[in-house]
Amino acid sequence: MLLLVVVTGWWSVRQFQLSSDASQLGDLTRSGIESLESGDFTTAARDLGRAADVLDRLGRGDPAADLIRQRSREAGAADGLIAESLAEILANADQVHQSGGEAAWKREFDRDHRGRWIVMQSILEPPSEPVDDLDDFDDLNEPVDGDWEAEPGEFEAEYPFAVGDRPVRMIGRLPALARLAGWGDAGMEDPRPVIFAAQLETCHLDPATDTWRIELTRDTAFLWTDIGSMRHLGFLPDAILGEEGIADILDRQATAVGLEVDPVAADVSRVGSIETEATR
Amino acid sequence: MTRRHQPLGIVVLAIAIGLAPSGLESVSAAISIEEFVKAKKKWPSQVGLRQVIEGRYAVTGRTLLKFHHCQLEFRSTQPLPKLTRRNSKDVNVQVIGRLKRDGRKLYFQIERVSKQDDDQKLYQRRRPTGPRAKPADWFALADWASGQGSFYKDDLLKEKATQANRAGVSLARRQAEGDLKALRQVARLVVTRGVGLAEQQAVEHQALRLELKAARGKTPLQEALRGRIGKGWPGSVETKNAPAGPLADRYRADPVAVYDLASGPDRLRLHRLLYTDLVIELITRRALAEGTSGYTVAEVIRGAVPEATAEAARWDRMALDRDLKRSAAMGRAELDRLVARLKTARRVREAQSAVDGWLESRREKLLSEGVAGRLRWADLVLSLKSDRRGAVVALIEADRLKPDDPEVAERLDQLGYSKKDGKWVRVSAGTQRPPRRVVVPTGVRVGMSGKQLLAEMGVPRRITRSATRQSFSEIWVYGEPGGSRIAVQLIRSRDADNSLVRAISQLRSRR
Repeated sequence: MLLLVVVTGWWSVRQFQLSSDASQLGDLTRSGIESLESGDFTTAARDLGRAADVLDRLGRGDPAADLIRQRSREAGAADGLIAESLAEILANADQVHQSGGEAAWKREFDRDHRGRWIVMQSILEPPSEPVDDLDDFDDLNEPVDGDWEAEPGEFEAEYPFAVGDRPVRMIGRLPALARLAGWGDAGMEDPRPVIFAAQLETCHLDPATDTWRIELTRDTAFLWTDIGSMRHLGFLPDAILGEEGIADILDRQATAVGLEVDPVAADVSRVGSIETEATR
Repeated sequence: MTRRHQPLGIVVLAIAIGLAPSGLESVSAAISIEEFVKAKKKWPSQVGLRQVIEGRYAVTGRTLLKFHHCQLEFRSTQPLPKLTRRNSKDVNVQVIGRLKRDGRKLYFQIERVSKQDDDQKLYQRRRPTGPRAKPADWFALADWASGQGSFYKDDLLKEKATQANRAGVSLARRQAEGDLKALRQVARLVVTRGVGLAEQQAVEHQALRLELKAARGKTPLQEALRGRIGKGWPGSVETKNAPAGPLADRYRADPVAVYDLASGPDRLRLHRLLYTDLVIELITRRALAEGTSGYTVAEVIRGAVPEATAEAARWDRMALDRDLKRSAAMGRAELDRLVARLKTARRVREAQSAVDGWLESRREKLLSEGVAGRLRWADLVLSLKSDRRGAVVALIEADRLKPDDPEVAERLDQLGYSKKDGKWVRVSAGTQRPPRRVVVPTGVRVGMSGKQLLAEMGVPRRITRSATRQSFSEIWVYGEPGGSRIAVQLIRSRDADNSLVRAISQLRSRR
């Protein structure tokens, strides 16, 4: 009996809380989008994060809700950016590594950079077969008949800046890549760059390949779609691709993540409808 | 009659003939049964008046005849002649007689009855033919056939009315050919005559073609027409209606005839073609007036008319051909852009030949500039052609000119050569070499701006860009993946336009 009373009480409080949050959904969304558009990523991340949380609890899966979740992710990444460029982080890594060894660098990385976000425009490639697997074969010139296969969305990228004499590779997983037109097309001579965000997991020297490897936290990577925040982050102007080129990349990515249009930007009244539906 | 009285007889006969009711006169005074029934209220006042009535009989007896849709009895004192008919609709008669009273009841006393051609035959006979026929003649026939068809509920005759209206409109359209005002009147006529939307559209299209012809070369008029077509011609602004090549070719060869015969969906495609042809004409005229480059024209066409890939490609091709002719005089950045465009257009051989020509035009001058010229030459052949051998030859020559020059030695070392017994030899792969130092092409230096870098080195092959909390970082990579590559890091604050070179590094070959 007591359990029933407790459960009913908990459920009632939860419903009251959900209803209260839902009534603020319109305001949170509006404020979050406005903050994102003005480059105030901290406020945008806070408000859109709360709006996305309410939408999750309401079980909303409509296009407007998906768009708010996407903007929430973008605001969160923009708010939690790394403090230095990867080139600077890598130069420091090389220095610390030489003086204090691997452990010292790991401590410093975990303290200063782990979990921070990178927002990057780069050419990504499907991963090549791991060298460890090939070591099992005596003759590397023989064709390999292994069953190794990359997981969907796994990628590698060359970070084109040598640390000392060592190359740098970036490794991550971004499931939406599989839906991006042209992804994994080995015949494409001039692959298009991708604009994505992800959290840093590790940065270490791989002795087997004498390569610096930057690993991104599994499944934190996502494709960017909003051009307004690109401008505030510094991606625009772009001397080579121009604004149209960046817009084209973002459009393709929006299609890949299932955002065909930008309903919030196109019709602010949608925010009201979100609020109305949410408070039902 | 004696010869004396002969002239008088002729005069009397002439008067008699003049007064006698002639067949021609009775026909001209004939009214249809429909008109007769409509004037039913006047029948009492018409009693005794001689009338000629035409129409389709419904019933005939020995002395009785009744018309369709008329309750009045037509009686004869004499047995009626046998009215032979070819088919069920061959029942048209002309009756001459007068309304009479039978007590309070009215009836029509037949004096003479004669068989007439049926309405179909009458229609055929009345069809206006010959060069003097006017649209109005056809419309009069259409009105008659329509009236008869409705009165007798004769669908065949109604169809004939439609045919007559069509023939009238067609004749009017032929007469209005080349006259915009007249064609617009015909378009209105199509509506009032109920000939149909398809015909109306066809006439309006013919008028529009005249307007397009008159507007040719007059930008404001063409812009106004573009707006009108976009708003008023269905399907014209939808890319999905892009016509297939054969339809477009046929239309361009004979627009009016092809449009007239086109189906509904094909007309939507032709509206799109009308619109896009005009849009492209406006784009190209403006470009020619303003001296816009072919690449820009192609880009504008791709944006405005996505399906016009061939036209956009044609402009690209013209611009590429033009640039190819002057490629030797280009700056490095412009050459890079040209080469990239040629490669995109799959004109790889021409891209190579442009690079060769460009290098050749500089070769003599650079090689006359001693060591510095050869160093520059080596940079160029490496970055533009990945030609290691050419670079090594130039560098060894430079070393010969100025033995043991450190910069030359460093470059050769970078390319895998070392000097042994005064001779440059290839270092084997396993040989331990001192750590590499970055070999930076002459002219690239830390602190230079992105614009200066672009002017010096051209468009990079790859760019990686990333944002940090306070700044924005770019890495521009030069050189082919399989050859020597240079990475230049540029940094700028987020809100600044101009970035500065922060560091330069040499990348491993990705071969």
